[in-house]
Amino acid sequence: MPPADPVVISVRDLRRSYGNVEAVRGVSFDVDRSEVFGLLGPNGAGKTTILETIEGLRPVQSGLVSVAGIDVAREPRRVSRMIGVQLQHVAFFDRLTLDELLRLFADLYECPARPEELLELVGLTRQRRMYARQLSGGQRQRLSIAVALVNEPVTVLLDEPTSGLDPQARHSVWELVSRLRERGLAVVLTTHYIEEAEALCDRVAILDEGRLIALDKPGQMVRALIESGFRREVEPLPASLEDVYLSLTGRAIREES
Amino acid sequence: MVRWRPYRALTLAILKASLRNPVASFGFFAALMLVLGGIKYLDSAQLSGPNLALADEASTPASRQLVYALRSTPSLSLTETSAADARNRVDAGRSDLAVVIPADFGATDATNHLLPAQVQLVYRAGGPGDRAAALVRAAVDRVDRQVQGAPPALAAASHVENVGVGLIDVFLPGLLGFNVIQAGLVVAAGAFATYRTSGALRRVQVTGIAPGNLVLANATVNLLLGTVEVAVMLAVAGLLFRHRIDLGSMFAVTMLGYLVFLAAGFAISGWVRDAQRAPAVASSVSLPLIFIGVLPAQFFPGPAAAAIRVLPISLVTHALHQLLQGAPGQDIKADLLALAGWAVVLLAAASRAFRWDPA
Repeated sequence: MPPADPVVISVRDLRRSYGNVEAVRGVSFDVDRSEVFGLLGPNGAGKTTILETIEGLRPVQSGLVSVAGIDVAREPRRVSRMIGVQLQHVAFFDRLTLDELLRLFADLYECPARPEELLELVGLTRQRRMYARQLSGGQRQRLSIAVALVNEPVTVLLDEPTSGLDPQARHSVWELVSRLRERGLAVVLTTHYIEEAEALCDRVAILDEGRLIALDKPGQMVRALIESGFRREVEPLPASLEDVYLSLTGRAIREES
Repeated sequence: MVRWRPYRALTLAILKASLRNPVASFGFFAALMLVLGGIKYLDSAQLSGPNLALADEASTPASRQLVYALRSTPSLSLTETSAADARNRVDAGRSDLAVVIPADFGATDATNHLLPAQVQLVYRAGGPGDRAAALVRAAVDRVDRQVQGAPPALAAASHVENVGVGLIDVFLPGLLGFNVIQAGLVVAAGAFATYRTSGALRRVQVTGIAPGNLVLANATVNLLLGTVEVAVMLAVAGLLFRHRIDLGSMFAVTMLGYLVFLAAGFAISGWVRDAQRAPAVASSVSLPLIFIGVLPAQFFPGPAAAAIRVLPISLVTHALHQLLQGAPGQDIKADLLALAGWAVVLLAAASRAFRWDPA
């Protein structure tokens, strides 16, 4: 059962330094249930540091981070049991099938195993007897999301989930993320792809040099920019090259094996 | 805190993955078993050519005939010497078999019948001496038949000695030591560094389980596979070379040594976190240890020998050598205690050094 309070993740005045370098400088935001929240920003903006602090992988140096009302700094283990995590570099134990991996993670979380349900959700039922290394990039990301859902988390944190994927695989991950939102999960994702944030996120936070410089719905941000007098010099065409590509090659996922 | 369900699941998963990769898990062990077979071959095959030390104290036509017969046996090499020297050569391991033809060999009575006489054979059991003795007995029989008809008068009497050192006594402790270093130190160091660099370790970390679960699961699988390897190697050595070696005590010593090197491997994987560097560091530690382990302590100069003597590999091989020489269990108590001390120190170091992160 998701908590009654709509706020799942709360970050207040988070700061983090590595030596003399301030990687995160007083960032605050909330993420609600059934919301996809995007963290955007150039490399080194502090996205991964914020994500890893929520995940309990990095200690909270200053500020307050809580998940479902539980303070991450005080009870990091308890928080890690209630969140789902997809790491930027996906790696699993080799020579275990997808089915075995999902059962293993259920045992690690000490919760009921439901590999069939999760593999069906991420569209990998046919591959259940394969090893993770035999999967294509997109399939591996979807497996990673299935693993992130093993413990029935209240929130899922996805670090660049579509990086390096072809357009079809990227769209399949987007569909999956939308399904997670429909299930009532709070989804936080980092991305370099602006069109991904626009298509997927209910709200986005734009970070630069460790500071939160904008936080709103993508449409609102665009409207605010237009109201400020901004105009594109070239009128955009009603279709993009990606639309051409997808209309020619279709949206169906290509399985590599 | 180690919890039963995650620990059991990780242990089974790692075991399953290891068994699905038999080349990586057992390739080295298979190579060592081949070496063991090779030692048996060298020990008994014609390659080493049983070497006879022969003393002819008779110099009768019959004795000369026997010497000629032995000289013409292609797989035997013969050195003629005195009776005392022939025995010394066997004791020193320079000859496989001493053959002493007594002065009365080929002597006849008044009716020109051969008087009974026995050729004395001295050799060590379980080595090339066995085969050489059979060849000598056959030659004596032939000479007896040629010199006269029945009843036979000339025979060979054997004196089997149980002293000295065979190839297996030199190599078995070294091979067992070699295996525990490889299966413990090198494999443990490499496995964790690979988990860490690939991110698999981090993936487990975000589930919130204590690292102890993974360390213990890995150690359990390594110990399980190691137990099977050590048991197989000892059983094969027992079958090939001896009917009676104290397998129980040898097993205990080897497994304690294994635990020590496993802990050392975990400690190295904590200090050296890079998957590319960890095996190199493990090898640079293990190769000198293997060298030390295979060579007996007397090969090293005084002060070095004392230091080397307390290294875990020397404790293991020393205790194994003692047991192979027939020493009772209590003679290796000091070695076992010192090994247990190493195990405690290295396990503590490993748990301090353990890190999830690659850098």
